[in-house]
Amino acid sequence: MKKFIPLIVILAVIVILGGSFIGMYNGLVSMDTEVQNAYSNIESQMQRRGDLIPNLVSTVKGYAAHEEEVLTSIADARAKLAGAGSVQELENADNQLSSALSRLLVVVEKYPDLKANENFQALMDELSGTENRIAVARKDYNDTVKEYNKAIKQFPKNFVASIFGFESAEFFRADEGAKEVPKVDFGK
Amino acid sequence: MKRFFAFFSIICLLFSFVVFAVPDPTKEFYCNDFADVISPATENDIIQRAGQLEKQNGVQLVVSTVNDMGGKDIESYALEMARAYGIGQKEEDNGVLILLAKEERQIRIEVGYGLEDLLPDSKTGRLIDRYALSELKKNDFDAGLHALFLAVVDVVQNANTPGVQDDEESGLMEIILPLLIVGVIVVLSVLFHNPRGGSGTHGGSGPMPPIFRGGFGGRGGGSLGGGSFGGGSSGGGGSFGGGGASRGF
Repeated sequence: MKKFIPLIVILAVIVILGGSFIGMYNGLVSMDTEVQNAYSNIESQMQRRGDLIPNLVSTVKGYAAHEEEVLTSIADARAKLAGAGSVQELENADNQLSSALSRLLVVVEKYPDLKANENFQALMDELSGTENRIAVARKDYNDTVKEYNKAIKQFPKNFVASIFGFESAEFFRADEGAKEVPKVDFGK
Repeated sequence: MKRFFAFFSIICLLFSFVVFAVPDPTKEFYCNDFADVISPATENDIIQRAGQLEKQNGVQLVVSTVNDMGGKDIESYALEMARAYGIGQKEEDNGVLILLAKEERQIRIEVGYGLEDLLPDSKTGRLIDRYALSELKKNDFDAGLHALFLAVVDVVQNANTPGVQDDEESGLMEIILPLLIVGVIVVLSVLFHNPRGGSGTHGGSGPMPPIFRGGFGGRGGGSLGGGSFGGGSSGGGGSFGGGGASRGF
């Protein structure tokens, strides 16, 4: 009987280690999933913004047909956004669109009739709201990335991470200027 | 050593005031008038109505005012407050926060995920424009906030179609309707009883009519933390994704 004790101990150790391994793996999987979800949330908010833009452009055109340059740059930026593949591309396209929209707002100031148009106001509210949601989605995404990246680097999870190929996720970095949520101040 | 410790703890204490941006919610939860611009009558009305609203369908509508936001923009501040207070039921994400920042002269309605189709951004913007903006510009914060609060309550309540009933009604419906239907079926089958066929009564109605699923009964008791009159507490914390609209005045 005594002969089996070392064997039992070894088995017990294997079971315990195996158990914690599984636990760590599952933990990483769930964090990874959170990161993916947060990322697709960003994408869907950007999609939503993209969908608002044609309506916005045509409303503006109705009042400010001469402002071609701004309207074209918005259309361009929107196309880029739709075609973005990586996090980096998405970021760049997003920055471009945000700055094009900001320029549009400057233009709109010249057309008080446009500003007073209820349709336009509703659109701008929706656009602002979506921009805000993108900002929130980005922040939430970066928070999950931070947790995830920390987890895969810490001991002992880093072993599990490297065995199963969990890689660091990229942060979403916004351009300093593009952090401004484009707003039209209808109150003033 | 003792002096160092005391000094250190004072520094930590100071730090906690500097870092912690959003004030804790009041006991009443629904009205947090930190800027002290809301009259007692309005405050009571807000607390009563918000309590009723929550009882009806779980929606938590909170009104807050602050003196200033410590340099933050209203979007971030409102989001932080809504999340920190845990406004809205956890499962339904049905929280709404109306925030007024006195110093910065800004107002925002922050809408939880679950209410985004009821209160889309353009609608919240319109609500502010229509019900609050002119009063706020004239510094009549009390009237503006009250009118806006009532408008939002109205939108939420009127959205309650027969499918989304409050608990008492749905409870009764769930008992009476099936009985009625079974009764009708029994009567019909007795009338058209075919001596050749099987038994006279159908045991019950086959597929349940969709009306039954209307009663979102589960919400009821748990959501009211602070008692039924004059007060509430976090509904578990619905999710906020940044929906809503802001205005400056």
